[in-house]
Amino acid sequence: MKGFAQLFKKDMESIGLMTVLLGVGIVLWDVFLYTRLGLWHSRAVVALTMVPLGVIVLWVVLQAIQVYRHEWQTGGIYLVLSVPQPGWKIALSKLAVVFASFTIHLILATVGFIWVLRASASYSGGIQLFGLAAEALFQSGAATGWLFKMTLVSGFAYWLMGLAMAVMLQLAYTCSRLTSRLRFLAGLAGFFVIQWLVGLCGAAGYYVFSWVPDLVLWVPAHALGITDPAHSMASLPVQGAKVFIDSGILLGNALGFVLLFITTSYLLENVIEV
Amino acid sequence: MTESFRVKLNFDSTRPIYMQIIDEIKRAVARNTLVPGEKLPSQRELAEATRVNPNTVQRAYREMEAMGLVETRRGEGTYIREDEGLLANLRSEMAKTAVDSFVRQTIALGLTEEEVLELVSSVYKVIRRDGRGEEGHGR
Amino acid sequence: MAAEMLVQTDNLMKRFGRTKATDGISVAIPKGIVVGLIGPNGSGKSTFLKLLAGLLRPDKGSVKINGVPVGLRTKAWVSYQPEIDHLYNWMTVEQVLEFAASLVPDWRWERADELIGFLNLEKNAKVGNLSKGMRGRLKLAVTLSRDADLFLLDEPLSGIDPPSRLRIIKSLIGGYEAGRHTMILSTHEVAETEGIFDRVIFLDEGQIKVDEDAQTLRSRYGRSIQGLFEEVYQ
Repeated sequence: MKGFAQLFKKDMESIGLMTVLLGVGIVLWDVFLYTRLGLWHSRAVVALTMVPLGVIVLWVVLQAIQVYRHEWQTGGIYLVLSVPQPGWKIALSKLAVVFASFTIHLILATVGFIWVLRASASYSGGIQLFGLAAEALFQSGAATGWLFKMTLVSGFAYWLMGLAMAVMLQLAYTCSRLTSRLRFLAGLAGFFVIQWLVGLCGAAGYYVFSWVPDLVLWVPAHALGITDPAHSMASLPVQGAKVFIDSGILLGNALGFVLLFITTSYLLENVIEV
Repeated sequence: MTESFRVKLNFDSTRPIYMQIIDEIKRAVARNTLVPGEKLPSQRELAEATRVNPNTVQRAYREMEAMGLVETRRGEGTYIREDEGLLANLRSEMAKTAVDSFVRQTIALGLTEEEVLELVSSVYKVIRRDGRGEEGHGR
Repeated sequence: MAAEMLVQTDNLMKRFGRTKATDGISVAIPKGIVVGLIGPNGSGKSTFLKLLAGLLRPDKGSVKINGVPVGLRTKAWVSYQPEIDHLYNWMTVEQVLEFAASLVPDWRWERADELIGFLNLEKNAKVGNLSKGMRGRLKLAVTLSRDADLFLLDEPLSGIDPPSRLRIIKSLIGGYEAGRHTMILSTHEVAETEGIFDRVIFLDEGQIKVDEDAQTLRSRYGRSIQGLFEEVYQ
């Protein structure tokens, strides 16, 4: 596996600066906002802490492409493709560094957000998150537990989405390298075709995997906009609704992404020319 | 090991390179630049120095061994054979080649044998008088 | 003699747009010789080497190494050096070697250390800070530190300063094991490398004009390969 380790190290180096810059940026941003609590409107502060969560997805887009583009820019692609390394190893390394980078960013952004949210609880302003006041969230054990679970679930979903973006973009970039002209347009067109294909896989999965039990998401009453003044702010969100997520579609999509990765690997090994 | 002799190769020639290498070594021996018992550079060293395929040098060394000009001592290298007769033969062989070429040239110029012998005599006198060495030019 | 050829191409064709970079090239190269691939710019030398290295796919015809069509498997037997600078600028000499070593099954560290020493390369120097000549030396060190069956070098001397050229040629000869290693060197500067070729192939506009033993050519015409090259491409 020493080949993979070296490939990973090299790929990390090619986007490492971008990773560090954003990581530092997120930390500074959240620290800055922390200092604004009490000075600015609490709701605004907490809302601003959510900005990095959006920016990191943009970063995934840039890094997913850059880690590939770097090879052609430096001529390194000549070395990578003239040695006996299978396509999947090359593709996996490039995907892994984007994942690693995104994971770090996501953790930083999430932790930063919760940190500021928690701090905002001691200020007036009535932050409502999922219909629950911030104070309630951090004072009630059950509510905190629920928040923790929600963060994990939504964080995981978001993380998977970032992964999915990376897989799609990297295949689109690889496909764009098959043409010598109008590469950007080819890549863009390819990206949309790929998304459509994933959608198809999801649709197919709806039927093929219909036997798999669906996922259930519990959404509290407050988040659904059902407010009941009778319940105090410290009470549990006992009333709510169940939301069903079709696991067939999810599985179909997941398989679709695996197929995309396999395609990227295949192209690198058998089709791409330098 | 000494590199005091130089191997000059001419690629604009019909004579195979390995033979040119042998010629140059013979010349060096005849002129005492290489002495009997002296070690030749290793095949690889000579190949690097002359920028020639090691195969070519290998062939040259093999031929020289077959000719009895050199001998390979296992683990040590290739040496010029210590053989009195060898040196004498080499000298006479090279002299013959030089004279042959010279005579043909003078014939082409239309000189008679007598004129050539006279010419040789007078040139000898001049060279001895000026005290020049035997290092001449020419092939 | 039914000995399997190391390299066998059959009517190899590759075109870019409307230009045929290689136009029906058929060669059989046995194991253990040094081949000079000679021709002017644009004659198809780089394309041919890339087809052997697996960086380009043939449009028509076949290209095989050890009887196997060029692909992932054959890359394990081939050490390829492009004409361009393909090593990452931000890596140090040492990092480049470690990186290259990890990607191939036949890396030889003793050879690498020997070459670094002979070529005067500093382990901690960054590739980006090296002169063109030094980068050429490093490329060579990377290429020759493998115990490959076939070495492909695309214009290893092009744009290189004279002292580096000498070192590069000596390194090529120094590590070459005749009969075991096969080298194909492409160049349009024939004079300095003339002596190392066992065989020469002249390419022009993607086609083979001459494919012969080097010494046979010299003996027949009484002219160096360099001289013949100049005449042929007048």
